[in-house]
Amino acid sequence: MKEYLQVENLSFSYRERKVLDKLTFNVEKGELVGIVGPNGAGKSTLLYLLAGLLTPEKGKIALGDKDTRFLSRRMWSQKVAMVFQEIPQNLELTSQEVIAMGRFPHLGRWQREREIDEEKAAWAMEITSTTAFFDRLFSELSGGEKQRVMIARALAQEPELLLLDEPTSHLDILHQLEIMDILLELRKGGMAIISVFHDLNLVSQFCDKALLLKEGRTLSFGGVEEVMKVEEVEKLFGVEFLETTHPFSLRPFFMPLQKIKNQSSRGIVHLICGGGSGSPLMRELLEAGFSLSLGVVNQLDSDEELARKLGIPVVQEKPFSPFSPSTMEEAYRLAQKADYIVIAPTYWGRGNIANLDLAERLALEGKAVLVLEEALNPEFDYTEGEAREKLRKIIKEGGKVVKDFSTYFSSLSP
Amino acid sequence: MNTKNKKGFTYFGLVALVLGSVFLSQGVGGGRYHLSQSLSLFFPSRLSPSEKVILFDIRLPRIILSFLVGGSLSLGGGALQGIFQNPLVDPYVLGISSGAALGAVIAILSGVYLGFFTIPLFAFSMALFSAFLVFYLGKIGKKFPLEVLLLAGIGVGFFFSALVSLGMFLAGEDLHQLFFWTMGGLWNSSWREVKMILPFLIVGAPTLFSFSRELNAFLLGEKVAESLGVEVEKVKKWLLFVVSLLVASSVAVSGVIGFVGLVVPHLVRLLGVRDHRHLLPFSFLLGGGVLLWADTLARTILNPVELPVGIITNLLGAPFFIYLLRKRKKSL
Amino acid sequence: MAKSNKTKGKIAFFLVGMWLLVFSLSFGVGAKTLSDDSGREVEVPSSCERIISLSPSNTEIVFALSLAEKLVGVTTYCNYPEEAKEKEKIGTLNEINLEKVVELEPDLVLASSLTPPDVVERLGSLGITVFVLDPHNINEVMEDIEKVGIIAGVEARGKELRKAMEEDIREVREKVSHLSPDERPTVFHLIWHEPLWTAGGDTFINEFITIAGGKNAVADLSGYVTLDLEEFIRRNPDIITVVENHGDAENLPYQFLLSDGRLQVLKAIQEHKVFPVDADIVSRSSARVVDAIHIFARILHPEIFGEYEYEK
Repeated sequence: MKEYLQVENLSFSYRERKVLDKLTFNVEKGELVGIVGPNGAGKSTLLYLLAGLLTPEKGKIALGDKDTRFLSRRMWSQKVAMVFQEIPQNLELTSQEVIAMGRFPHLGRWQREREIDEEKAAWAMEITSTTAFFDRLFSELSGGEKQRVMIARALAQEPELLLLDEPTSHLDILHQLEIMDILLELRKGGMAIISVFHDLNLVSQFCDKALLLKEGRTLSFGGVEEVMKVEEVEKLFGVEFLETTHPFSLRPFFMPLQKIKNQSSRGIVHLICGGGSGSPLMRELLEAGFSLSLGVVNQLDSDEELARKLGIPVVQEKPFSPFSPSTMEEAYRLAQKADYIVIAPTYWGRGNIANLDLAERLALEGKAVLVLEEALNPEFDYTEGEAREKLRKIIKEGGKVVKDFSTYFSSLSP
Repeated sequence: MNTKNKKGFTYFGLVALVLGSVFLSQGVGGGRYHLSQSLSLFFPSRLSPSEKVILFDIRLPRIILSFLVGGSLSLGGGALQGIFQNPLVDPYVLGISSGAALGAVIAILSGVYLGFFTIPLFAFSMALFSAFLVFYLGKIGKKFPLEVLLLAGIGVGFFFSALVSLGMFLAGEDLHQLFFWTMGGLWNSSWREVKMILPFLIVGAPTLFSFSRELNAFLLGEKVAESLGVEVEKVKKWLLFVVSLLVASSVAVSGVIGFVGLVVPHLVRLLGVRDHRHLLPFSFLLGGGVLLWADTLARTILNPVELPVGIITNLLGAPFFIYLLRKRKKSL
Repeated sequence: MAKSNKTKGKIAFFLVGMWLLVFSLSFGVGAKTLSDDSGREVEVPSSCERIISLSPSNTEIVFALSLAEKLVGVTTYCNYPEEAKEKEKIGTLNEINLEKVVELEPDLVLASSLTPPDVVERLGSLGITVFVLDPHNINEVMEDIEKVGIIAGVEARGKELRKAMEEDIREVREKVSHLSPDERPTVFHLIWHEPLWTAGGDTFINEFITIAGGKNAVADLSGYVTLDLEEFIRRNPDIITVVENHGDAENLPYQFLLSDGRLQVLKAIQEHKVFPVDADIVSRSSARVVDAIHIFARILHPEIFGEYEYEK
């Protein structure tokens, strides 16, 4: 597919402040490109420049080989259509009248609408599923319906490049997905589409390419898989994310991580967990004001990943390997510093049963050991009863069985 | 198609109404209606010289002028409401009425006499000057941001009004001349005044009509309109210029007549016409008709004493405007 | 027989005492009051050496009563007679400089209907004698002249002036008394042309015209009215008088009459019976109402009173 939009060294300033600096990228026909970035990154400004509503300070924009400096306003509007973030209020026109205005760049001053104009408008309405309310007043439509009508209006312009500024911001999930469906269909038809999204997952899930824009500069640009990596995304927003793969689309999916400071005055808890059992407990305990340590878990275990992200000291073992004695010693030394030992409801197998020995040893030494009630569930035992036996011993040695933390800790003195 | 027929029928109806109004108004004189005087439009021969002068050199040009002025003001008001995307805008928003009044003040106080068109000439020049002053003040870079234009219009309007007040103060014994002028009246209208306003209308009206689709696009907002291919700043400049000519020529010839330019386009919108391709011509026809009848009323109610027609438009226009506002509030 | 000196002394003492008593009583009780044209009862000041006038008409009256030296303040519009222009200015017709007025320490202030009521009140509360003149017809003008005479301490002069005016007017009336209604031309008095502004039946102009042996073309209308141009044509007056506005290089209403082609159907235009008149004379309610009458008399009946000549 040939390159349709070429942006070279595009720069733009507004009142002495540089909004965009030396942007360079290309978009092909039939490509859906998503632009993400924090507020003030210059995303809307970029769209306005591509639509010809602003003049670049430096740099070049070309649409299908034509340098835009030589395009008249009319010609530009025949090639590029834009859907704006703001939706006009109190617009007392019918949807059809609004959509028909998209034919403006194709009509002469005194020309009446021709058959082809009606056809194009009808196509635009069909693709956006807005045919049903063609004679309803725009002001009476719902938010999602209004957004679709505005897209239809842009489509009526028969653009080669469609620009959208946060088309899904004010919509609920159902309508967001509707809009994405429309964009995908248009892309299939060969339209080049560039859209600013505030939700980076819409970009990672649906777009072909992503432009990560920070403070007016390209952080990265390219195929979604290559460019939208956790580190890049974290650099972009200054927030930590957990990345996962969407099980159906098989595309990256990002979940922002809210960091809770790992320091407090309430005491230290050493958490024995694994396989995700520790994750909810980590948050709860941190919020309750405790410092944490963890161990032993294997690398690549999800609890290990989360603990690392949260800055919690972890004793790790190599992936899929049983815990070696030296690792257990390390864990013992770490756990010594704790005030409480907590055993999470993890699955017990040959690989991690040594953690229970650790717990028993600590209980014998007089450490307060708390066993979550759920952990006693026999279904979690894959050691033919050995794990359950060890747990019973721990309890006999002074370990307490706890239903949940909030009741337990509130019954203690603060 | 049905709507096409409907539109054609409505235009035909409006034009017929206008012609009928001219016919009827021609018969109104001396406080009564005279069918014979209406019919004289078709049979002008059996009249005495003074009757001829009355009917064809005083009454008919006045009727025609009232129609043309009402039409110009409504057309200008409708176009301005489209440009500013603001239904509260009236044709004098660019300080034109104050400018025209100031022109008249200067003409009267300076005692300069260049012929019968002295006062209209001064009024017209100052009206245009105030419009250009507003453009100049309202321009930022190469653009004419609408809010700035409105503010500039208010500022210029106030300033010139203050000067007019000063002039009235200095005029002393000649005060009454200014007083009458600022009230808006079509007394002494002759074919001369019609000839003064006609060229501006002939050039201005079709120009405004030709921008109908741009005005439609403006309804979606300036940014959207520009993305649709409208050369926003250029269009604004032209429209404002043409409207200024229309309004300035009207005010120069008839003083400041209020409310017609504000209310008539609203009325047309209330009747369901939003497309400027029809809104503008409808406003012209309806506005002309409204002022025609308002002036007929003005010269009949206290006959033979004349009321300034500006008083009638203000008296009737204000409550009607409030009524329109309430209707809109209900629909919001 | 010799009256005792004591008795003479007593009588003399008594006489002097009586005289002193009468004298002092006249001082207090002699406070006469006159009602002015706004209905106020105004106390006649004991002495009137300093007079301020708040309108051109009032200034003319003061001069007519030979009180020129006592006039210490006038308005900017007071232009008759010539000497009036040299007097100290205290404001315009409706903007009075209160401070100036008080500074000049007037014994009498002659106000007009255009003087703002609160100015009248303020001056009154400051202890200054204010007398409002607002005559609505010739008779009231003459009464006002008399009243001013009384207040200013020149009662006799006032009475004289009134008598002279009455005599003058009577003469004019006599000279036209023999005229039949047909011999009294209809007169249209044009004050302004845009819109047509004229004087109806209850105005001074109407009186001037009637006394001078004519008929007011709009006598059926009341007050100063704006007239439909059509009506002007319909009424077709015999004579048109047009006010000349001071300060204009050109007399606009006069130009209008001469240049507007539609007015050619009027008999007065065709017969060149269009006469400009001095606004200061015909629009002021002073002693010159008599002059105004003479102006109209000459215009209407040159065969009786002589030709009318207008001087700028």
